[in-house]
Amino acid sequence: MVSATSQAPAGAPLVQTNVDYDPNVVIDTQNLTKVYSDFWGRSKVRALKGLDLEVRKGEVFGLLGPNGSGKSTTIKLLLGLLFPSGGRATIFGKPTTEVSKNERIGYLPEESYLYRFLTAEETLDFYGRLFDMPSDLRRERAAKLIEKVGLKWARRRPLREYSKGMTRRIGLAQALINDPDLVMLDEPTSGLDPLGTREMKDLILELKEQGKTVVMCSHLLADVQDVCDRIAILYQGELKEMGRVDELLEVTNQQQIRVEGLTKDAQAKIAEILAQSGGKMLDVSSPKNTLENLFLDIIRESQARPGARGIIGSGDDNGGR
Amino acid sequence: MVVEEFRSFSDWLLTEGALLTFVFVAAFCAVTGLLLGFLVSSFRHGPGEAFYAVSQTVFQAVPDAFGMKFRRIWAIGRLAMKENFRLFLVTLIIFVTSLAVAGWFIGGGGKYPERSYVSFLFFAAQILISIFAVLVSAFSLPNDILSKTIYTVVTKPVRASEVVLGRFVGFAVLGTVLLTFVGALSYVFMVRGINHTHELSEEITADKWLPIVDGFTPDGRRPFDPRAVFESTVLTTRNNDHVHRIAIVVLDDGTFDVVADETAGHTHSVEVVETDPETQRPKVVSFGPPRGNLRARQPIYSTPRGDLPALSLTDENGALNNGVNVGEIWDYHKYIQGGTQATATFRFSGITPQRFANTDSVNVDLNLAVFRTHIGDLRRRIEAEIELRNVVDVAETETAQVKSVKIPFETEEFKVQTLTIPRKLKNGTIRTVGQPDQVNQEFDFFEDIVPNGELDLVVRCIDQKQYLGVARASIYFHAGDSSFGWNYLRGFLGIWAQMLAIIALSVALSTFLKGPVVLIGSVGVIVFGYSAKFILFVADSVIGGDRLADVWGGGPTEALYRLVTQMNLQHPLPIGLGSDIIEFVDAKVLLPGMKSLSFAVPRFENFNLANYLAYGYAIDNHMLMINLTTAFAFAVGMLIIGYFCFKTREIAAA
Amino acid sequence: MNFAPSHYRKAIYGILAAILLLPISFLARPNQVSKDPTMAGEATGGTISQMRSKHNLSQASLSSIDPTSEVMKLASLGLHGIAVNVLWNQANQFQEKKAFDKVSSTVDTLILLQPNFVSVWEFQGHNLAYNISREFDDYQDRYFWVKEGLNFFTKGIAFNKRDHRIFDNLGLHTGLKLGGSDEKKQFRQMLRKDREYVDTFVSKFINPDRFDKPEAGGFDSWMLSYWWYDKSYHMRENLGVPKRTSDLMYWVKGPQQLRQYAEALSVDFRPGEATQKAWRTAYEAWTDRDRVGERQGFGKRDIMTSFGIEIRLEDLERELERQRAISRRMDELVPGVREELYQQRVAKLSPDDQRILKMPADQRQFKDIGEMVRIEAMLLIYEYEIAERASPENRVAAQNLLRELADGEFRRNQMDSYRYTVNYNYWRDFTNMESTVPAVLARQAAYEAAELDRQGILESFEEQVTDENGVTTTVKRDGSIDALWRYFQHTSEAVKPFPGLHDGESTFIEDLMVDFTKFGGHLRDVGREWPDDFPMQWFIDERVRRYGRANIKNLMTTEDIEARKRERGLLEEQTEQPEQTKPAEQTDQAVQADQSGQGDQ
Repeated sequence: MVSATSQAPAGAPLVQTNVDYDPNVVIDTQNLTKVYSDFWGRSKVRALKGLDLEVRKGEVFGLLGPNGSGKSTTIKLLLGLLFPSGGRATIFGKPTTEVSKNERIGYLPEESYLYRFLTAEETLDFYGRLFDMPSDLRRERAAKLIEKVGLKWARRRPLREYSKGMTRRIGLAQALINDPDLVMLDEPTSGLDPLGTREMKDLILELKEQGKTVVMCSHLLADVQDVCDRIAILYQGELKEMGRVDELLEVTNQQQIRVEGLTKDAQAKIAEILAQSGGKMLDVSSPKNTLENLFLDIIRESQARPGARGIIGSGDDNGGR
Repeated sequence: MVVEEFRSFSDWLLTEGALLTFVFVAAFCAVTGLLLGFLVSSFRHGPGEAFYAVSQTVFQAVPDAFGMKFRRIWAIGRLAMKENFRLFLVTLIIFVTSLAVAGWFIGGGGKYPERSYVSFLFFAAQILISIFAVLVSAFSLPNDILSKTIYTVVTKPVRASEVVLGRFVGFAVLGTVLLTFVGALSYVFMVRGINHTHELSEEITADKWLPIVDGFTPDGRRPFDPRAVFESTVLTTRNNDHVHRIAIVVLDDGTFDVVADETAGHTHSVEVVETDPETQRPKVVSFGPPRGNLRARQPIYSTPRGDLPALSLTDENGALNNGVNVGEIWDYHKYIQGGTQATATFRFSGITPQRFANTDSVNVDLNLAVFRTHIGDLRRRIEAEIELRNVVDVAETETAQVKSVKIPFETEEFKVQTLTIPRKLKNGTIRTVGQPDQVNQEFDFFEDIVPNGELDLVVRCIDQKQYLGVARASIYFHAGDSSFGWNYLRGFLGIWAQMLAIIALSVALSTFLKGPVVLIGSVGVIVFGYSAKFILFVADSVIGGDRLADVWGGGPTEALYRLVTQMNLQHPLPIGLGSDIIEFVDAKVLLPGMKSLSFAVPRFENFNLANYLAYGYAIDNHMLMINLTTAFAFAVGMLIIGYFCFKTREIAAA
Repeated sequence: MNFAPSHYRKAIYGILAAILLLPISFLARPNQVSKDPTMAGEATGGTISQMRSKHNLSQASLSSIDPTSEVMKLASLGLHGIAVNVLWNQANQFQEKKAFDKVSSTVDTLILLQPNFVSVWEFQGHNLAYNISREFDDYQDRYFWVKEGLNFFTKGIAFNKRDHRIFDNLGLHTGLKLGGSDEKKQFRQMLRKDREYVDTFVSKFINPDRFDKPEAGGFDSWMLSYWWYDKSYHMRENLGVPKRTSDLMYWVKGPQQLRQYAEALSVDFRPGEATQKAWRTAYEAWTDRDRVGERQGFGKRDIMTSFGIEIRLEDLERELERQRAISRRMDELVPGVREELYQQRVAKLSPDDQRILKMPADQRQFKDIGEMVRIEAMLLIYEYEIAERASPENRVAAQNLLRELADGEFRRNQMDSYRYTVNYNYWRDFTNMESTVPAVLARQAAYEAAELDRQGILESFEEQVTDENGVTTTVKRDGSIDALWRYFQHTSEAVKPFPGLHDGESTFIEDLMVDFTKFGGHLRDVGREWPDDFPMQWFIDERVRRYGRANIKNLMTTEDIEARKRERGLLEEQTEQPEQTKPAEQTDQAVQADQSGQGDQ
């Protein structure tokens, strides 16, 4: 099922030269199944049943689904951590067990499995070596990433002394160390505070601008909604729904108008027009700011002017925005 | 020193078929591996899919092998080293404390202190390094997989071969550093432990110098130095559990010198501090550091020449035989009867001037065994003689001149006795066929006796009815001494080789087993390696059928049966189907399996070369080469197995 | 690796621990008992082990708790038994492979694991001193390994404070191996001057002056073995250590060593007053008073027999005396019955038997002696036969006497058999005889004869001797035949008072026979006949009479001499003197003078 690619701002689609390999298709799975079996080979759990998936270059693709729906299994299959029980999957046209594909992949696992006895710098240096990068490139890239994920102040402390958020950030840093074309994020925003989540989302969008393909799986729908172009919803190992986020979320038979300066009688006039044209006024209310924006504004404000601050909701003043 | 087998590297590799066995075992493992893989995957995914998977794994092995990047291997290695640095420190501390404690047990005492030192230190080093190797490599990879930190590594462009080899390199480097520390520390500990000096227990007044009368001291002892004129009754102080005697000796040029005797494997240089005015005999002397111990003699052993054996013996009327057995259980020494035509001929080759430290005299070392049938004169030692004869090649035996010279000497049992053969030899005889012998000729050792580097050394015992025991290693030309430190290092090379083999073994096992299981597996294989000779011995004697001769209790199943039914070892099994089954399982299944397995595992027993050091001999290069090659071959084999196991393993499925 | 606070704390603790290690190691350094035997008991370790020995904390225990041995037991992690098995096997294999230094180091480790098994000490000590020393060809190596065995035992002393067998073994091995093996001459010679061995390994237990005998040329192996046994007796008598061996074979050892010392002295050196004193001491120690160790002699020692009664070997004569006294009382009670029964029995004898009975004892020939045994058995009169004939009023008294006799009988049998086991009578007479003056003179003569034999001088000869002021006189020198003649004269005189030495088989008689044959041989060498007036002709005749000619083939008895004379015409009235002159009778003083010379072979 080929659907229109999202307008990727950078990195225009490539021309397909090789007949059976379209460079624009980053990930392609056909009838990908995974059955966990016990030692004697008796199949126990059908984790993934016949997944057909295609992720194109420059796209942010979301894999959604409740726990145990096969999201992580799919990612592990794509990365070669698991062997498919059936069907085929290719990344950049190469089979998942092909090691050289990892040159262009960055992976942030659920909990970032990093070596606790290494410091941040040493970790990035280690993974940099694994990409066979020369030392100067490694040092420069590591410093930039540490800066970017905001861990400069803790770069010399061993990871075992890191908080959960800090570990996620260094995990992300190691995923980007090789400036990958495909970034796979497993539950990237889980366990992060709203500030961290916001930064993660901004980062993902930034990657998108750089023309990178991002595949993320999460059960935090709000985050996926903000970031993903296309999503696939898995349930009990089966693909239930796939498509563009905006298309899917569109309530086709309803429209929403946002106006300013709407007086009571104007509102009544609109209601009449609607009634005549057969429409129906469902609701008239003023849009709510998202809690996230409120939270972030407060944090940013307190970062700009540290010290006590008037409490909005204490009930004594007349309420802010 | 007792050397029971003379193996040259090339013989061992080719003629004794070590290479062949290796190839056979490797092929055998490859085939079984593939078959097993095929069976398992076909069991899971059906034959078609299985064939594809297996062939794919095999073909992928090629890029995996050549795609390896050293930077990646070194990165994983460094990681492994950092991870196990603490264990490294702990092992080092254990060794240091065990050295301190050992000081109380070994002490400097005993006849040859360096023997107890070397054997203890090598034993401790070997055990400690093996344990370190197993511990460090057994838990590293399994923990990595268990804590899933392997995900971030495997999802990088890191080949399975790099992970396995990286770990091996990391542990090998860590182990080597530990081994250098252990080696250096133990060397310093030994040298300091053995170093000591003595003083005189009291002043030697004139009457304390005993004159040597017709070869004996007044209290019936034979002077420790044949040149001695006076021997002092005053002894040195007791340091390191021994004392020395001192004597005034007459040197060849007539001057006098004071020497100390050789006890506990060494002697001391003696300087005269004060001499007694009237008698001109030393009153107070001072002693230098120990000399003569911590040596590394370089022997030139006898070697077979064409189809003639290195050592051949003749009986009392000159016919070739295998030497007389004087009733000893250990048949290392072959005996020849004194006063008869019984001889022992040692065939030497490669005796060239360049090989000798100084060429104006040649040293022959002897460790002979003596068997007296009758007491005879107890005070006189058994007389024997060696005859040096040049070797004439077969073609011109008629015309060639056989030059030989006889050197009589007194035997000293259980000591390394050195005969110094001057380059200028007198009273030699020239024997040519059909002409009378020309006697008391003057020969030059290198030109006349050893023109072509080949020499026959014939030993005869002179005393009637007494026997002289020889073995191939008991007589050799003492080319010179190499430094003890360098020899000590090569000794540790043996342990280093064993460490590599063990690390490879544990890393390979750790690719598909959990930590503790790897530990038990590795220790099991190591113990198997140590007792391979015994297992071969049991297997041969049980399969061979002459069970009553050597091994009581039969093979493993029979032994289990006897254990359970509390049956005495000598009691024959009850006749019946049960015993037939037991015997069948033992002789046909278990023991052949163990026998072939014993070829697969390196014989760790041979890796401990402490014996050479203890007895002061340079380590035989061939023995070292054999050990190193076995260890490397085993390590490579294990790493390949490790690679395939790791490759076919689902990382996340654990 | 930057250091978080937790690291600093760890480093500090480490340093503190290291600092603490110093005093602890100083305090707790183990006692070096196991390695240096001379320091046995005396603590050389740290303060704790010194305090332990000062307050006798360790002395009271079975053995001094040697920390090194405890550490070894701990190190074997409870696999104590297996470790010991492995070590025993290893020791045997090393011995098979002649790696003897490895054997002794393995055994050293072994005794750390099994310090209190005396049999381990006994076996390995013996193994070192006998089996391993025998393997060597050079007697000096053998001597070294015998000392290794002895040093091994000295190490065992500290570990077995309540067991006298260690000292017994030291005595046994010092005596028998150093003093009695093939190499005894060399061993004893070397031991005499071996101050290093004595100072290092023996002076700790025995004061060297006790066995440093000037007359024996220095340290003597037999005296040393005596004093080892003395240590064992000291343990039994004063420390009340439990008895490990039978009394008889235990208390005989001390006196035995003294006798061996006397024997060795007379062989190694020129016999004289010193040897006489040694024999005298040996005799006294054998019978009533051991003057060297100031304790009861062997004969006076109470010996528990296997039947649970205590006897004293010396008391046998007194017991016999008591038995005869009781028999006499029995005769008084029942007069004349014994004589009557005896006559009845004699009457029943065959005439032949009666003839033998009447023959005087010294006339009986070899076969008659055999018959006499049978005859005596027939004439035996049992006391109960007499008691039965007692008159009614004396019957009770007779019965009491019978019971007394029965007891005495049982005790006498015990004494007899125990005396027989240790050859008590023979050795008593032998040592007694040897300590008499004639015996010493005989020994001197034998010594000179041996010396002359060595020089091959058989006949006596004249020699021109010029003294200091130039006067040359011809002096008559004895040949070995004359020396032997004197030897036989003195021996005959010495042996006569001891009939016990004449009969049965003993080394003394065998040696005499050898000397007779040698004397006969010398005579034949110089072409002379067996002399008519041979001083010990009576001895030979008696032997022939009692034991027939079986083992006395080439010797002449008196009958042979008379037969020879008859051949050569009538028996001369007065036996003609053999050509050589008999030296004058030697007096007591001469003995002292002779013993001054001290040469040794």
